[in-house]
Amino acid sequence: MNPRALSWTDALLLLAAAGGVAFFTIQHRNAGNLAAENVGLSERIEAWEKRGEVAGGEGEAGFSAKSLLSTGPAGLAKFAAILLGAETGNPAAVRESLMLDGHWRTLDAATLEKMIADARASDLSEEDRERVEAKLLEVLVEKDPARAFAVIESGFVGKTPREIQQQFAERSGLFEKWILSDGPQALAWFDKQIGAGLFDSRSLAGTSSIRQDYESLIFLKSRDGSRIAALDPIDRLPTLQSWRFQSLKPQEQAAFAQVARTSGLKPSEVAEVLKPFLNRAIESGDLAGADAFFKRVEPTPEELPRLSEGAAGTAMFALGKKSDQLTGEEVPAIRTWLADKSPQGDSYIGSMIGKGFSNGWDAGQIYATIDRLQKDSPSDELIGSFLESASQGTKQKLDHSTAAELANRISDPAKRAAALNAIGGQ
Amino acid sequence: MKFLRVIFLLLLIALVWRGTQERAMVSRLQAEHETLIARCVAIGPPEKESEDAKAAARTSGRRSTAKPEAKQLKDELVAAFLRLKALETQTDPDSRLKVEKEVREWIGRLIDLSPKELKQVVEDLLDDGVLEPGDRRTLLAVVLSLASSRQSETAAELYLKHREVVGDGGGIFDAWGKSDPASALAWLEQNRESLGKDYQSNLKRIIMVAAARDPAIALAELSKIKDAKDRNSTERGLAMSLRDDGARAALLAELRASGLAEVDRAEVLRGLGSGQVGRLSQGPGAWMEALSPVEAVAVAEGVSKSMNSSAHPEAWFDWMGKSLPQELMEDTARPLLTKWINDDYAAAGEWINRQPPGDFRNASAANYARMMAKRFPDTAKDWANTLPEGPEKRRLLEEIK
Repeated sequence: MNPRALSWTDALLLLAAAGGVAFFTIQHRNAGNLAAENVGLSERIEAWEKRGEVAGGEGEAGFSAKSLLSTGPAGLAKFAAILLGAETGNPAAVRESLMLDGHWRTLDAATLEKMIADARASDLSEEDRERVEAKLLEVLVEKDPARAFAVIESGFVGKTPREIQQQFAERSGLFEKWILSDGPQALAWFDKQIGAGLFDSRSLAGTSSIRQDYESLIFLKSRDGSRIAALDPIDRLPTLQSWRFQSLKPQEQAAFAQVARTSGLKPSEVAEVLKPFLNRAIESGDLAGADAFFKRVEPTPEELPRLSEGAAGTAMFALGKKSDQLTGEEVPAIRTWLADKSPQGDSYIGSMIGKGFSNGWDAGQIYATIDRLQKDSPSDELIGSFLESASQGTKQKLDHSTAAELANRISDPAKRAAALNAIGGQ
Repeated sequence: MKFLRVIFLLLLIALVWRGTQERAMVSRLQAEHETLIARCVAIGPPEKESEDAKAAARTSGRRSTAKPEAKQLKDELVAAFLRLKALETQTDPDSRLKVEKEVREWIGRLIDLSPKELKQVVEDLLDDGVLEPGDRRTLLAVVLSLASSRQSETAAELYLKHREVVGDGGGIFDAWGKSDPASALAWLEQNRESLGKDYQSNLKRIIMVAAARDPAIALAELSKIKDAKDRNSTERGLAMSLRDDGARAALLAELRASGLAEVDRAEVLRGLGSGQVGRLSQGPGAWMEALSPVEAVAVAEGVSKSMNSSAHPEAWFDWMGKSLPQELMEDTARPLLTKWINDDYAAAGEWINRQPPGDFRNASAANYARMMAKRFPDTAKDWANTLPEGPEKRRLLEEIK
């Protein structure tokens, strides 16, 4: 009897089952392979993360703080190489450096101090030594700031006063941490160093930029302005103009303005100190930002004209960048805004438009703007200061007939003569 | 027969069902695999740490490396960012240390992002409703910049796609240019049109950081910067970015072999000189020993006009004295001397006083007297009187009076 052949239905079913087996087997094998690979990779990462502890505990080579200590100069060189790699953006080095950061923080102050001493005594290059020392000091100052600064001072042996000041400049970030963790102790140390002359000015200008930097840090953290008032008058303005204050938030600016006003500065100097905040408030040229700033800091009558002129100038130059708007309503609006705040407003507006001309803004638009302003409200000061300022430009020269026509609109004969003289001499 | 068919059918259903499950597992394992691979790339080749890995494996137990979902990652990142922001008003040192530790951990996590995770985090940040626009911009820039140390191309693509929101992509190209300048430059060329005006600014950034890894490619790309002012600042910048004498020597060798015009060559040399000056520098580097007179003049100009304060200006004057043609010494050294007098007039005066009689000492003493005149007129007069008799001395004394 012949064996019965499979029907088409059975054959298809068998084939489908075989396909199912193959599909399952492939997926199962893939999952198995991937799982195995993942286990291997996980072990590698885990081992990498753990190697510090292990190496430190067993005295084997590795990257942990303890192992670096036990491997002496080679360990320090390895550490310096990691820090250099991290500086240059090598991802592996950044990871290693971050891991070491955690390890350093498990060490006690005495161990860190010894490591710094070892680094100083090593034959690392000056740059590598600095990398290692700076990193370890960063951790030491968190644990014992007084000790960290004693370590810094111990490195001053044989250094010139200028080198010591450069060293202090490098370590200002550590001082910032100290003020936060123990302000009175940090101030006592700082005053002791000032007494010893280490922060004395060595510059011909007579100001000590390093001391200014430290004083600004103290103010920033303590909010106590009394130290700034007690500074040598020559140091007060630069201290209050420190870059460190540029990021003060709007709500902090009123208190800062008050400190500036009680620091023995002239009103014009106070205005100079406040100008950067004002400029930030009207970055896009919107004078509403200036109004809000004035509401916050309440300028004195002496400060207001200078600050307002500064704001108008910033707004004018923002317009200059999109010069197609110079002929619109903006310049008259700025003029009106300034008129309430500065008696010299017209003169200032004229000179700013003149500066714009000097910078190469579209001459046709500028003449049209001056003409429009003059028709709105005639002003000798506006035209006079425009012509004086514009005649000093190097990027473009005034058209003589147009300039003369403008000068002849000045009603005061003396001012008219001065303007004609200015355009004649260009 | 029917029974057999039912059996086959059931078997088929079971296999497909299990296969589908396995397939879902494969997808999950693949995602995990991608993340783990990315992380392993970050920690370096296995050879480098194989001994440590073996040591660790001997003593350590298995630890879960499962990472949070990308969505969860974004939420955690935003929360950490807000904690960091709140730190501005926080004065408690322990809280600060805690947040600083958290920031360090985040740097690691962001470096480890896989391309898929990076894309997801960026998309999630763009959709986030909690962050203020300024904060979102900052956070996106930080994420892309850190992740780009490994996922450079993905980060660059994301920057290109979301430029309006992300703003400055400089951090991405800094990282990419440092690690793989050739690929970074190739990508930039491919996307030149889409980048528009950002093409030039990013090109300059890549060239500036590329010199440490591949000085030849950095110099070759300079010709793509058409504006002479921009090109010159890039030439100085690329040389100033170098950190050690070996890298400076390599750049010098490539520079000599390059076809750069004299004027461009001089800018690179000025940058090399400027970069050599600094608090930690003890003075001239070994690479400066065999400079031609023309090269030495350009390097000395860079040294003299460096914005950095030198801890040892005297070492530079000694080198200039030996390397520069005598007639150029006075003019070339003047900016360095002027800066030194401004920064530390006492030390500068002592040094000038020790110089042997001659043209350079006289010119230095005259410069010193002029600079001291306003604040210390008597001292200035004493210095002017050290000059030999002649019109220069008379004119100086007249100025000081």
